[in-house]
Amino acid sequence: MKVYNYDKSFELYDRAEKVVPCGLYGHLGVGRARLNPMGCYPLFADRAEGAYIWDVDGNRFIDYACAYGPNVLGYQDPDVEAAALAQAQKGNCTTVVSPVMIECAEELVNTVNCADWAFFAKNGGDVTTLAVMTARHATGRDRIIMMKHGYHGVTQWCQTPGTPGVLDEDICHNLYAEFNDYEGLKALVEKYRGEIACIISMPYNHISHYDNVLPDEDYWPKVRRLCDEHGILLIIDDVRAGFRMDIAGSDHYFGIKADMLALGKAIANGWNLSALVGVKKLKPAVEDMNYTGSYWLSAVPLAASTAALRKMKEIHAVEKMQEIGAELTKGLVEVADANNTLLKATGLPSLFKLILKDPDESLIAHQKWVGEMVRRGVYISHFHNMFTNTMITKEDLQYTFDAADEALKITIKEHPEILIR
Amino acid sequence: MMVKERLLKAVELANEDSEGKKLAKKLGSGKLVVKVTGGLSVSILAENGHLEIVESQEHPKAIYEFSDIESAWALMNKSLSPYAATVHKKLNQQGLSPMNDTFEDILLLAYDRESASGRE
Repeated sequence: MKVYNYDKSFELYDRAEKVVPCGLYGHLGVGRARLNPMGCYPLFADRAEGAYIWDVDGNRFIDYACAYGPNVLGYQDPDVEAAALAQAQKGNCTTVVSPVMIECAEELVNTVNCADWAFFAKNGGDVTTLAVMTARHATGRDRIIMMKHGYHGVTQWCQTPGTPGVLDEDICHNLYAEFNDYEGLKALVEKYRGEIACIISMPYNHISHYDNVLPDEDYWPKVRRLCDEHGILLIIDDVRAGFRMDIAGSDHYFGIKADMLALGKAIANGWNLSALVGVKKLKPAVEDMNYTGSYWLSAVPLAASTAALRKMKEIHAVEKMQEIGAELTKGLVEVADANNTLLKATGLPSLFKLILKDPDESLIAHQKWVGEMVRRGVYISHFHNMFTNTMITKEDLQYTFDAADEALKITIKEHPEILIR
Repeated sequence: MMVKERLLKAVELANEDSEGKKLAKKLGSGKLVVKVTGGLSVSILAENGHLEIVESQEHPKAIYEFSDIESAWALMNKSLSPYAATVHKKLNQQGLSPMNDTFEDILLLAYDRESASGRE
């Protein structure tokens, strides 16, 4: 297979480094070894369409990162883009709000089980923050329970102790529980009886760097009852998993109804939008919030979202993504097995986690394997959940298996310790 | 020698400094090898928020490797960005990223503490 070069990417980085902090920052950037082994990943893209991105060196990638979640219908989906363009020709960020806001809110209320209302913003962190503020206001309580290693954005309240710029005072009301440990959670709730405003959690433990953990079958129903007994609001952070497990919400997938659901990423197939939805009784509390942003009610992303939601329902996108993901992960595990190695695929097929196992649980060989696949045109992140979208074809899957096999043979030569037999 | 002294200082801060201890709790458990390619190598065992220098370099969970001693010193003294260093392959991090990331924060804390004591 052809192995890619990234000369133009790196030339561009040298320019970027002079005028942009880090050169390339955040989850798409070069920090924290996200794009290691360095030289395996492209740094800048030229264009994207369907299941693919092309970098500035003209290399094509089957993109399983899906922009880290937003791409569900394929990049540049014609129906979503047509809706966005039609609205763009009328106006986007304007002094007076477009009625497309109402259409999008109605679509969410008709689609998401726990949604009696919708509040729009831009990023997932905007709406997880609003959810927590609303919970504190509605209950009059200060403390919140989060799951250890849970990710709810980058605002101070949800960062970990010792993070630059985060004060102890910003996080002093946070309590932490182990995901799926109901007894531990219950003990925490009882220890701080009457003080807890909310429990905020991803629907299952899809954290970076580690295998995903799905909840026990009775976990969420028990947590729901615990919240009801103690007057605690249940917030499900569905920013990453939303519209990939159940079109009606990941809480609905697990048979419960959250009080609030934070949505983003897939909500508008890449147009920048997030939404907090919730039950009727919390609407007055949200109305009291002094919470706004210049771009939050911009019309184009709202129009795009309405189109995306309708199309996802029409083509049964969730089921399609799950089927593709199941075939993909099964095939990759078989490739690993055929090479006498162990690949664990955890989580749900539409947002799966892959880890090539080594005896030290270091991920060193895993990073090498993933890097070699990326250099062969299969874009996977070594640390993050990966995703499927509805445009991935059987040919893409076969190409992926072939790249995985070639990459694995190279990895084994450098890391024979990963052989299991 | 100065690079090794700074590494040892970082370990000390992780165990004794209030900010260092917060960071040490985030390291997780396991061995981190900090090295200069072809040269100095220090093996640090993290367990329950406590760090210890150990002999064995085998079975690391993370490797934090500088390409040369000059780059190591520049990074530790914040005159070289870890981001640019990564792109230009003067810094290579392998393995468990949370461990590498957190150790980098501890290393930079060591610089801050040294700078502050130099100004007093």
